[in-house]
Amino acid sequence: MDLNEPSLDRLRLKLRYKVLYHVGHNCADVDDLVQESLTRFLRAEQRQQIRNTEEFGAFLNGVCRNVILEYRRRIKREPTIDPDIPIPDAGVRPDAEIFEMRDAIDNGLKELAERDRSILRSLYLEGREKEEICREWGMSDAQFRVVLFRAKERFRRVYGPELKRNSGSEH
Amino acid sequence: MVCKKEPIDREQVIAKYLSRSLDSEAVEEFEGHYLGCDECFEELRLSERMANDLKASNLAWNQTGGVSVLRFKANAELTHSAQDLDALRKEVLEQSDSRVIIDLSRVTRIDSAGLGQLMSCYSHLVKNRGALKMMNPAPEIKKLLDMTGLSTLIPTFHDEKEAVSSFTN
Repeated sequence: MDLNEPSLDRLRLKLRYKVLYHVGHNCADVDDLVQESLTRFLRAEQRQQIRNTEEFGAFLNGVCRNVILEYRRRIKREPTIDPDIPIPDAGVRPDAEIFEMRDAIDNGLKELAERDRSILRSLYLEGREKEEICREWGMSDAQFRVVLFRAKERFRRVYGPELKRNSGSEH
Repeated sequence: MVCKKEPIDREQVIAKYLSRSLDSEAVEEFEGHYLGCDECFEELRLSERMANDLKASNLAWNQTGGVSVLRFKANAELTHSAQDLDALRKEVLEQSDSRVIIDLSRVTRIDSAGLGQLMSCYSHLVKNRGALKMMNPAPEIKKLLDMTGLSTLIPTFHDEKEAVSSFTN
């Protein structure tokens, strides 16, 4: 397995995403959990314990899941209520960048018809099934596909460069 | 494997993952996949941004007397599973103004997660030498804020004029 610096950064970014999904933004130990997962993974890789390197994602996922479970057990045993623990900061982006981004998003959202917005909300925010949404709006699979991928392309144009730059502080 | 599926089916998995409506087995499978697949991870991040923007589109800022006022455009719930809660947190934490009023007039429900998030916003703004105030809560929301003592920590006003002028007094 080729684990050079860029691919390690990439793994760190993905692990951070997973850890945040499970422990939430207010957890002060996210970076420690990511690092611990990565360390265990690399140790296993060095010892050639990963049998199927093609599917290392599943192995890494298992390692990270264990790290999170152990962390939860530890927190349950020793709850730490320390008023001095800082609340993780989401990081403040420069005003110009925020306004530019908001304008782009607002324009993108304005371009979407109210129906398209409702459809996207149903899918992404309410977790509803594609079939159910199609039934509600009387649309075919193909029409649903058009709504979905047209909106996604619009967002890809706005966010594509940012996501490439960003090392993943958001989630 | 998710990226071998039809793009629309992959998008459905991503959407369910983001709205936390995948069962735990499917979450495991998807996470195990995207940790090893750059393409699916990029799609996931892009969809997440899109979902966040859809959530944030229920929020609007305006400036009054040098103070930023954050409003919900439609009825909102600040509860553990509500999308509006995450959007509120992101909006307050990611912007640079530190004098903020949250208009609660369209908030119909708050639970402990919502109260906790308001506290996080308050701590963040105070840390940045600013202040958080609230205005226009519905009677039942006001009662909850009073009962939990949050209204003594985060001053709560009946109208915007009163809330804005409190920053200069």
